Amino acid sequence: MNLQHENILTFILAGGKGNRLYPLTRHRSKPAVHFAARFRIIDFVLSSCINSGIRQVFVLTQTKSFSLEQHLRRSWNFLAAQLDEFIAAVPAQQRISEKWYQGTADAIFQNLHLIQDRHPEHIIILSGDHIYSMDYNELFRYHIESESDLTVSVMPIKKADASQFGVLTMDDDHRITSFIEKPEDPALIPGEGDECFINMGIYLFRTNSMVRILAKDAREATSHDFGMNIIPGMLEKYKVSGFDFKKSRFGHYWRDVGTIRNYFDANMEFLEQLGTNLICTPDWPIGSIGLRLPPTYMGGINKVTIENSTVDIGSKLVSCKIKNSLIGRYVHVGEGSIIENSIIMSRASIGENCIVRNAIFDDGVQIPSNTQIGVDADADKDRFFMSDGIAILPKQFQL
Amino acid sequence: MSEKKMILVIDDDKNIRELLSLEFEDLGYSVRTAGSGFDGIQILKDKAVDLVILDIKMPGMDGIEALEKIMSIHKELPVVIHSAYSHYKENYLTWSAMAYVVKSGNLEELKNTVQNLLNKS
Repeated sequence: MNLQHENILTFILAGGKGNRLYPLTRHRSKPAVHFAARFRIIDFVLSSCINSGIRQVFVLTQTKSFSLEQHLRRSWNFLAAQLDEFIAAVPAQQRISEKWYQGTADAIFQNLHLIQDRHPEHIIILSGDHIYSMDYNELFRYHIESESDLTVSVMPIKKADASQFGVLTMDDDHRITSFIEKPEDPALIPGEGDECFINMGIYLFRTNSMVRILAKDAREATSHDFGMNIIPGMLEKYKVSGFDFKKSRFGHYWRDVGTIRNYFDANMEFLEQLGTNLICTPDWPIGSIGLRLPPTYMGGINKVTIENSTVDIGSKLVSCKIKNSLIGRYVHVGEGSIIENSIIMSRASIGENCIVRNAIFDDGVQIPSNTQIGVDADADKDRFFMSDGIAILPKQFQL
Repeated sequence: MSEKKMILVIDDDKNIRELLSLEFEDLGYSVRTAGSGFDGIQILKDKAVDLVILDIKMPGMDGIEALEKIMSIHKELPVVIHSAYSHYKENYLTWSAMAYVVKSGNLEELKNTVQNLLNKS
């Protein structure tokens, strides 16, 4: 059983505004936000699709979609159209409603014609907002063996963190028995202490069951949302199962980078994951834009020190010190500068003798020599957009 | 006396429109008719309608496109697809309709379906 040979269609919901990631989302939707100064957030789910053998993917875009669509064209256009393989961006077309998508379920309902055109037996619906790796073949096998109408990928997390997610309970056969979106008092997993199962926004549907319930939901006054309406509405009449992500191959890591703090921490965690090779392995590559830039140069009169960091191609590091940081492509760091605990995205230019700590530089930021960031909190507040102690310098920012 | 409920019949076959008008008026409903999807949508925008009986195979805007437009104007409005063809049942784009009745000489199934839906609404 391999997804490459199954009659399956995949949708990635990629219309997330990411308001809490502002100003990184000032010019782009959340899935198009850079991650680890190398990737875009959506690269993770797309990589899992390709690595799992999925070859027919619609990416549903909505607001500020240009950056994402450009990234898909530049980085994810390698599939063979002659073999009916594709990763295609689908903008909100207002075919049925003259409004934007009203919810995640509405996004699929408004694109039913894409399902009608292909008549897949199963549909995978994924979020373009999350950082993880997953072999969807494991999910598919479970879905088929359990004869479910819907299989939801779930994972256990601490109760204190569960209220911002959909929380569910399951019986001994992993059939979902209750599902509440963002509950005040999340239900615990029996016998597992302080942990709750949450919905990861990864759905595998039997197509007929999905269309039936989406068509019904579309006629009703609901939020048209998978978590709020569709899953709870299916529990009685349909077989809805939970797939325990934690027991799967890459089950140790999944992050929803909803806020700047989450985003920053996930980047730093990713640094640790790279060090241990748990999320990116030679047989599970994470794809992204492949530019023909020269290797990174490191030199100067004094030595370059790099500790627990990554540096992408085409950069130039001159007698500087980099620690616990992610450096993107075509970044220039001048002599004597120190960069610590920071994310520096592509085409940044950092002058000589700068100190940069606890900062996020979006694309193309330029700071002159002797600039200090993350040294004097009061001075930072006057000059930069601050969030939770992190200075964020937006795209093309020049000091 | 309560106002009669209004049924909109959208069908390009004039004989069907006339037949359904007579039959449903006999049952106590008001009936308006349209010979195309475009005309039907225009009526729906201008007039209060309680239920739509919708043909699928029509020139210009067919019933499937008309159903999408109806959903955009009044998503909770009951629509009964009334087609000579049963294979459109397999088309996911028809599943938003509340019912699907294949045309036949006997109108009982259509009448029962319409009455049930209007009694619920």
